Amino acid sequence: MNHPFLQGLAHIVRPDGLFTDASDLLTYESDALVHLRATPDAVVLPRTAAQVQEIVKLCRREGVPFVARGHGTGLSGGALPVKNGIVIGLSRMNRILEVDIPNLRAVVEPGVTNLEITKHVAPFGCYYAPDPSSQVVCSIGGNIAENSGGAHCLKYGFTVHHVLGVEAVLPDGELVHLGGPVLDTPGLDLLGVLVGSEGTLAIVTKATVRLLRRPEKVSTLLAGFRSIDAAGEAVSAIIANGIVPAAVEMMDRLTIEAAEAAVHPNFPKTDAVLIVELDGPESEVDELFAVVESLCQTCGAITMEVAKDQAQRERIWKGRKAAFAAMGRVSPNYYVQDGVVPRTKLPEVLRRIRELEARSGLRIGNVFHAGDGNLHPLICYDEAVPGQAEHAEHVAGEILTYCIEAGGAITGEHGVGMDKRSYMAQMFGADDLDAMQRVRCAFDPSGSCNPGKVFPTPRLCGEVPGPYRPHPVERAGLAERF
Amino acid sequence: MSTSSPSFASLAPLAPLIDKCVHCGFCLPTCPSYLVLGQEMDSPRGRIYAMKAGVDGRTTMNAGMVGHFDTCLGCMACETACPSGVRYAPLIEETRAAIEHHHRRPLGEQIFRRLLFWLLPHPGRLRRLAKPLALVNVLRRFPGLLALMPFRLRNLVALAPEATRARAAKDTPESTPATGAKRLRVGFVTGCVQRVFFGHVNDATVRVLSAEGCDVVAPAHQGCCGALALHAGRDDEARTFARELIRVFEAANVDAIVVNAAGCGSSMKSYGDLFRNDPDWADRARTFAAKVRDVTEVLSGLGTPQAPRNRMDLRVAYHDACHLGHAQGVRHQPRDLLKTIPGVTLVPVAESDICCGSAGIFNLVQPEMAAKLGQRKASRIAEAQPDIIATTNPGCMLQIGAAFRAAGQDRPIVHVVEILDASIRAVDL
Amino acid sequence: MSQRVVEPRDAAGVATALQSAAAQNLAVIVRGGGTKSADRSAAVLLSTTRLTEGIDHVAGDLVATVPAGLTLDAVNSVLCRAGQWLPLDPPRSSRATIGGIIATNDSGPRRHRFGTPRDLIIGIEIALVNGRTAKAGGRVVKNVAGYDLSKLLCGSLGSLAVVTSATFKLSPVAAHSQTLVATVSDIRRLGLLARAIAELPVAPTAIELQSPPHRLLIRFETTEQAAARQSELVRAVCIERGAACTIVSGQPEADAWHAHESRVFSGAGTIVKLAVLPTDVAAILDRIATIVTERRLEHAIIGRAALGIVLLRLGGTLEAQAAIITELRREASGRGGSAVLSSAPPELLHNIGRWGPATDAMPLMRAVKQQFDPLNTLNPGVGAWEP
Repeated sequence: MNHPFLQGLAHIVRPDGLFTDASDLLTYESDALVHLRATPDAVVLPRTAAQVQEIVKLCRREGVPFVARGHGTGLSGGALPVKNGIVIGLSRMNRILEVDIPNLRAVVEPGVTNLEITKHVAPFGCYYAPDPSSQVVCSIGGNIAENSGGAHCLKYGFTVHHVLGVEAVLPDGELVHLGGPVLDTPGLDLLGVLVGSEGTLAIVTKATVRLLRRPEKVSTLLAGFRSIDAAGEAVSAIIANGIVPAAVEMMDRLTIEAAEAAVHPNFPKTDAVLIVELDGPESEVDELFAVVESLCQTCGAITMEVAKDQAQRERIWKGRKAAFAAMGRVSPNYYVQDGVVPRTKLPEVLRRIRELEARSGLRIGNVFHAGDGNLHPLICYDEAVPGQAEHAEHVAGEILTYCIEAGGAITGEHGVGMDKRSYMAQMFGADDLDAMQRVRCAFDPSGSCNPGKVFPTPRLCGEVPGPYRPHPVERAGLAERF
Repeated sequence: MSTSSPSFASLAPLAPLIDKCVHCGFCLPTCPSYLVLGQEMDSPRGRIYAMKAGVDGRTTMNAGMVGHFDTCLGCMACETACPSGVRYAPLIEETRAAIEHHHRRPLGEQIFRRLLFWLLPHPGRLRRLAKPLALVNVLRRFPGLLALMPFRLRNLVALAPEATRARAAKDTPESTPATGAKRLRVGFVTGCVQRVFFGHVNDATVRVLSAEGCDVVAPAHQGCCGALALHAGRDDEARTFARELIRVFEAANVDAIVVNAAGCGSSMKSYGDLFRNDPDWADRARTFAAKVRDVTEVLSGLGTPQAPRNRMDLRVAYHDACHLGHAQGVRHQPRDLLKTIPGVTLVPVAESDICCGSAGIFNLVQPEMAAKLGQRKASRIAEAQPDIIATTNPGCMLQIGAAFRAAGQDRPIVHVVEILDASIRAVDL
Repeated sequence: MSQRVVEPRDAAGVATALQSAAAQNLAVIVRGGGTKSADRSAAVLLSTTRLTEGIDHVAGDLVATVPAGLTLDAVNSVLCRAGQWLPLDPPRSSRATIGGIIATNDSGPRRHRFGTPRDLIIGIEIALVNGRTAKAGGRVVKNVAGYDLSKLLCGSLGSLAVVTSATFKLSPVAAHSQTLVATVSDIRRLGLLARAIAELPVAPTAIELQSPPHRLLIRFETTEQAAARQSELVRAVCIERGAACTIVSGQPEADAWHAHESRVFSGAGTIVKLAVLPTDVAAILDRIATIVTERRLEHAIIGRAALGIVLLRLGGTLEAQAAIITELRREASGRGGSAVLSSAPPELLHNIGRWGPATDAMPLMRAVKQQFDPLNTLNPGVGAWEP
């Protein structure tokens, strides 16, 4: 990386926003998916959108690729640095700029954490709905890149349903506004395709998010079941009764153990637990919750605990949300996978996973969003044992194949990133990938924005034929070419 | 995997602790240095990653890395936040020790640190400082003059304790019997800065302990517990102090060893770790450590208060000292004690888990960052609109006091036992 | 030159037709039920009305894949056999096709609770001008693999590709429905009443405004008990604020909603869609009332009161309409919103433009269009980004 380029960067983010020391750079070599590492040539930490623009323009002039990064909590290597590229960290752009309670909107910088938004608007009885388990630290910018969900996305949807507009820097350094605080901005829904594009189309520098009013009542049930199958039946029964809970989460024995050891949520010592939450107007919740309770009983729940107050509710959720990191207590390493299967296919896929666990000799814990079929198998391994890390990766990949075969998806929330690129071709055909890549070509013809992520092979943007503009007379159909 | 450089060699046995970190990042939003600087290297996750890289031989200790370890306050908020149970305390302590042993700091810094450690752990030397300190306190009234001083010096002036309360003589009595029924026999650690500049806090501590049925034994010849040295990586020095203190209290034969400074208490509770490589002292250290209690723990643990409380109509903001809340996990006890006083309203303070910036000698050696954290803490406390601020650590009292003064406000800051004492004796604070 | 009409039966057929048209540099207009197509002639008219094969409804997953050529009502009549439905209520749902609804991202009063097609779509199949078909998304609600082309296609007005089928997440059909109709004397009160209701702990599926007469329609679709309790809460607030209330359900309720839609969507005139912040609805209604009363123009208003969407049907001369719409557009833009001509005669469109001021994202939109349809074959001229 040449000196004038670095000097240029240093000047943009003066006095203390450029890092080139090898020992500093190594702390940026991976996000939360630690087995993927790459050292960037430099890390810049801008504080304003104007600085981001300058950085991107400089990169473009010098042909340097860049990777945007929030707080580095991604689980698919989306923020993995690119060879001969730089990392643009948004961690210092962390201000909440505007809160408009009457219109239930807030404007935030990308480095603001998910939970911070909720904390900020809590005094007004409002909250920000998407609640990934890492919400205490994951950034809104990252959430937008991954279209993050969380336990409550069954009822409330994902980040794409809660972001109304963004200000973003395009790969050519131009600033654009997509969507906005008012609904239905004219034109193509580019915001809809930007959310979930994993940082490959633009860098978000501001986001207008939608707030919700806290529901009048929230009722949370923690039910222990003798088996995953029994718990799954309870979920099917709930859906079949026309009830859409705000959240339905399931954990198996291994993950229950880990969570218990980590945060002591006092979960029952059963083979499966189900957390079912309903929210809404009190009259509706009370009536439907009684139905849920009775359905769980009918499906053989061994234990049932209804949260009596906010503290109890928080305790139950703490147990669920700490599940991943808690695996660190029961295993030296673990690989968390993220696949989706149609809910009706869950029992079959879980059975296949159990069989795989026995065959592979690695323990696999299961945490999943039972309401929408999003599984998080946690494959335990010890990297000190030679070959075991690769084995775990292989096992994770096989689980993804089960998901695809069941008509599901290779990622429900964590994104494709670098980790699952090779599975994209199993889930989508060449034409499908080609259609998606056209969007990328429109945003980033030079391929400098987080290149190498999501798609297995890049599409050459130059394949598009030159712009042909038919004569208006032709277009009106009054003349025809032969 | 190459072998670790000499500067990381002592961390190698701690590799299993390092490996517990799964890189989830839950510690970042709670880390004061990450909140101020916004860069990965100055976060627990980043520091652990650097330690691992050092142990694996991928990097050597350089001035830059030392800087990132130096910005760590040792507040242990990360331990509280970590879902994987990573024990960051032994890791950072060992790293600091490694830095002390293997890294040469710039000369000016070396001199400054040596001066601090020549002075702070020695009550006798601190006492002789009392008169010159009066001048320093006067300087505070001349902001114009202060502005002319270099930042470090100005910072020292801002933080200096009130000389008027300094104790020239009259230490805590060696033995104070329980008032009424005796419930416990406790030893009392009188501290260094605490003993000299917050003697009134020690007096209140003894009075309250006695009123609640404790025989209080305060050996006259006790010295420093070594906390400041330990937290700055001066491990040999810390062990020397620790051995002395252990000997003194072994002789006292007490049920519990009570301390009213959070930083000291946290250090003393970890004496077992400090002597883990010393077969002669390991057991003695562990036995000692097992008896250590913060004064709020002891009082709260005694159960129903024995001494009647008189009403005090006060809005109290309780500030969790990191070394009590995070390092020792003691949070509800001080609050429970304050609630035993009729008329006291505890007003919650936002960001209570974030350090005020005191952190041992941190505010002396990292004044800019400490000032930012102090400001942040003062703002959060002010938002709660308290009448008075209560805490459990002299360092916090000095830091928060300085922060409020810098903002042009003055708030009374006291130790929790001072409020209890005032309530029991029916006097004003 | 007469217009060639093609009616492919499947996605491959659509793709072939598009490729052929592109190869001959012919423009193609895509038409479903014809409820929204702009009246423009082109060399080729591609009808999607034969894309009607196979609704795949997996009730256990609350998901259905539906072909683009079926009407919304036809789809829902199949889905509700299993007690579920696609919770959209755009105008003319008995004629509007799924493809058309997606292309216009059309919605109705229930947008309040359920959102637009863009909020409910989870997978899509499209036919492209290069003769290929492509899929994006999938059949599961939770899916972030690849780019979300379904969202991009929603509201793209058929300018990028032709939607041949789509997968949606569904909602259970509610046990009971009832609507509270609150009437006020003055349009200025409507906006304020709507805001008061939106702050109550109730979860209606719609909060619609209507004028004239000046009314709010608040719909509850839940259990009978819950609907009754919530209606009571709302009624109390309405009465407090001097509104007269009635509650309807069953056929009278269906009739009321049908009449509501007809106010704007039947009848002559230009339809303007205004979008503003919810707190600006009262001001916009006020403005409309003032201008329209001044000129004594025939008009009707409906809207999603809590979302800031107001639909105005305007009669009168084109000159008068142009003047009013220009003023409303200025008012809306000044408040960060927009005023778009949903349906208008060509002279008016030509005169004041359909969309209003351009935004800084237009060049990017043109780039996307260029990628998907380099020869501008599909529905040329429909986009807001067209110069």
